[in-house]
Amino acid sequence: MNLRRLSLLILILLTMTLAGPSQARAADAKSLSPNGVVDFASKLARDHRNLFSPEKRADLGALNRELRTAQQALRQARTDEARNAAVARGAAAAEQLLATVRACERIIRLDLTRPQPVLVQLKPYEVPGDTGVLLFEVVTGANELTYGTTNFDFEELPEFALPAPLVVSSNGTTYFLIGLEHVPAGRTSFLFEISQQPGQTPVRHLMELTTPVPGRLKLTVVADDTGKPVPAMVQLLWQVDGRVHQPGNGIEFAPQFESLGSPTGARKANLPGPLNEAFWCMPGPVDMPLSPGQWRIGARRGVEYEAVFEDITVRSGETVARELKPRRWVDMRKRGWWSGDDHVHCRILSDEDAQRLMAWVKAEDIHLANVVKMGDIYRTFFEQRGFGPAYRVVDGQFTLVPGQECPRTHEQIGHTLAMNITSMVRNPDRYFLYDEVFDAVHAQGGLSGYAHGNSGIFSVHRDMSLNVPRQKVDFIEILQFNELGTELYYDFLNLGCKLTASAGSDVPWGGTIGEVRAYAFLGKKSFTADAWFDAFRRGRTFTTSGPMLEFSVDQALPGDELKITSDRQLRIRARAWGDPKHMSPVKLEIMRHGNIIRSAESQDPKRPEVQLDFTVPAGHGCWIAARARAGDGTSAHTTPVYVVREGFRFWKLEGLDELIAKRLASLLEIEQLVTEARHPQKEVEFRGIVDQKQLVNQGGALLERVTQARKLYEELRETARKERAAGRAVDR
Amino acid sequence: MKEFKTLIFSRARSGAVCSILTLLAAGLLGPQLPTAAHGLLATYVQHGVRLKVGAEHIDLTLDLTFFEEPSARERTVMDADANGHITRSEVDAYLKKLAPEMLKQVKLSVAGHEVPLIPLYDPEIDLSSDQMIATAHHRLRLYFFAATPVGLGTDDEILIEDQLWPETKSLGTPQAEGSDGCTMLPEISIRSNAAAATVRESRRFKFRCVKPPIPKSAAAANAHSPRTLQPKPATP
Repeated sequence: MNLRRLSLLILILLTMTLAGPSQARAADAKSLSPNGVVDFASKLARDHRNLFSPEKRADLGALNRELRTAQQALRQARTDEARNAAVARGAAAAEQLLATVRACERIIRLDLTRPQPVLVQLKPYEVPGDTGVLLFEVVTGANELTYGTTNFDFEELPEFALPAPLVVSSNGTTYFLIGLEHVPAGRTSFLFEISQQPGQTPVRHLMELTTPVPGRLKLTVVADDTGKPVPAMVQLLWQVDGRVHQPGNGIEFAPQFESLGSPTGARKANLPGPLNEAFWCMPGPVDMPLSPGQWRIGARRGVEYEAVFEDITVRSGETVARELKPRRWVDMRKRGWWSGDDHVHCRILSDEDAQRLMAWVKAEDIHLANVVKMGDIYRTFFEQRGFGPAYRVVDGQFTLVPGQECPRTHEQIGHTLAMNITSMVRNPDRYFLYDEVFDAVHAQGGLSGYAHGNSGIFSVHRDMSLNVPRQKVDFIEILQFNELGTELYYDFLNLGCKLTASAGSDVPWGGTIGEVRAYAFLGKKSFTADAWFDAFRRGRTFTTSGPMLEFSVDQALPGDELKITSDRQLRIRARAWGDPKHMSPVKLEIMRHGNIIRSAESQDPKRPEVQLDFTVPAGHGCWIAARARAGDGTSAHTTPVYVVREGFRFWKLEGLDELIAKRLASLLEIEQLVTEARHPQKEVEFRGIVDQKQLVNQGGALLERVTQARKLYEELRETARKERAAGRAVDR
Repeated sequence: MKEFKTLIFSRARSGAVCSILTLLAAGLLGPQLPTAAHGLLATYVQHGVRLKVGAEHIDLTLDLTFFEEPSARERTVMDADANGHITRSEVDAYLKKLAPEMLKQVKLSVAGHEVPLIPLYDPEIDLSSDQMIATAHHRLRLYFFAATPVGLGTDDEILIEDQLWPETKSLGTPQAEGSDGCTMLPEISIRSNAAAATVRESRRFKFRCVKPPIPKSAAAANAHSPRTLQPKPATP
């Protein structure tokens, strides 16, 4: 630290020293009495409820809300009357809390008014496992009542070191909660100090803890249809500390995530309710020691299964054996639909890497995972052993297929994905010319698409404006992190551009593989990666994070082109349904050119299912899709059926000028990027140096593409003019 | 050697010390930190909004997942002694400083009427097992509650406005659940970019009450004195 910074630090510390006491007084005037009661009640209600019986726990929750409400009222009080009312409300709750705490059977009483205060322990204090809590009543006099909380983490406590002293009232009674973490197994002695005032010589006490003999859990998750053990996402939640513990064979994916995203095997799905808490991938049965007490064990296997949870009691020295069977509420395979995740980041450099990832996709019931090597203009991440069929990993009806997420530019023109490639396509010297990558991917027989189309982040609209009308791109992610976003999607469909709806979890940034997924319709074909890609290439997909969809226009399925020669009635049939236990109600909407033309919502809470069957006139052509939203906040969306009338595009003529204007504005943004990069005075952050240098180098080629795209949009305008005229003639 | 520090309410001054030190550390050291890797969503904060509506209370939990860059910035603020390792007491001080501000930046409205939010528990942070200043994620969880308004009815809209870290790009993921017979739905989003709010744009998460909760009893409702949806009479 240089001298200037040191001076600044001293100045601030000095100011703080002078200002400190008055701030403390001001804060006290807004705090409930006794001191620390709100924090104490909160910790007791949330973290240390196990000190009390179940009945008392509910009371503690109510007392916490009451104290918090009184605290808030006190802080906002503008009159003495309001202030007094808040204080009285808080005092009443505090009194109840005190009675509850005093009656706690596990309280440790320490009287410091005696000449030689000592903590007498007849036997070691038993904590329930590697976490626990000590509740102290420390008496130093008769004047005041205070509350305090702290934590001792034995993992952070060096050998022979003492925790910082507990500071208690100098003349009164202090109730203290000490949260204990990482308590060693067996018997543990440790010293701690109690001080009545900061700076005063503390009194030392010896505390002995012991942990109980553990029990054992033998847990197997079995398939609903075969009854055989299967990989599953498993949660072991110890009710005592409210935390999820790793199963003994729970897979730690951190090394394969290369410290990126959320680099841990504890996966919190972007899904509703308890699924949003951590689950571990458990590849098979486990037999492991567990601390005694109440546990909640849970297992889930992706969206087609209902997650199951069971509360168990583990007793010292005893074994609990459980078999969990997540119930399948739908089998989309039998309907010809097979699940995939287009966006999985995970290093695969060995068979062991592959086995671990395979266990995960099986646990989440994802039949095809596009495992993408990620790149940017600087480097690549998530290395793969190779690309193409030889490097696919196949295990029964599950396949890992190496793909790529590259090119990716964050501040410029967006992120792209490729599936089913035979080699990675990346050239930093041509990095901004995404069309070259799309062409190369297609030449390999692969599929090109855009990532994050649901949120539109990373300015993906810019490259979409360049390359979607040029038919360079096959798909776009419209569902990610359980967020369905269709603004960009609808804009391009309304321009008459075909795009297949897709979804990807984006782990390790996303929660878990398959939390959003794309289903491809294989019909009666057997599942293979090639069959899945063929179906996907035809656009026969829908995306979902929960509800399922079936949709047809006449006999056409999503992605199909329905050719018509004149205006006629089209029969639309759609069905949306969800897990009866969690997804009610389900709402189904039929979208035509981005507008809802028909919707229905399920009425029976036990049967979240709704169907529509109706006809609409084809007009001059259109796109029609179905989307669904379930009561738990999950959603689904199909790729459209493209109704193409002879002589017309399937676009939305009404409002076309505004749509084209948006695209032209996006092209202007690309031009500005190049202009700014070329500006000699442009100040560039260090991290942007290569981007800017390459933008200068590639700017000319990029601008050529902008010119081509502009021409295309002009042609579209001309086509629209002709279609309007033709439409009027046909209508007459 | 790391030291444990107790956190007692009466020691407000030590809280102030930590707060100012954290600000100081951020001001002095922030600009010198190496920028994070070019991670995928490295510049974003994911806002997980969980709403639970019951007969007596509306519970709101905000789960903010800070991806690499915003996490690195916040970790720098947390690391008050700038030694590269974040201790529990540093996290506590950071949260104590932030909590009142965060309360002001989250608003709940029911059927167009603002309902005051109250912190249910103190905020908590999960550093994802990485206590270092590093390019990792961390999760900040905020807990609020409010009394359920008496007049909550079918099709009423519940709106959460979240202006936390307004300068940082965000991704929103709303979830809703009901208890006591209540059914809630997050409103369907067909507008992308709305969730990817950028500069000072508040995040608005809308939920629709499909079925209101069944009051546990009139007595219980009275005891908790929930606010009604009617505008309150003007107070002097």
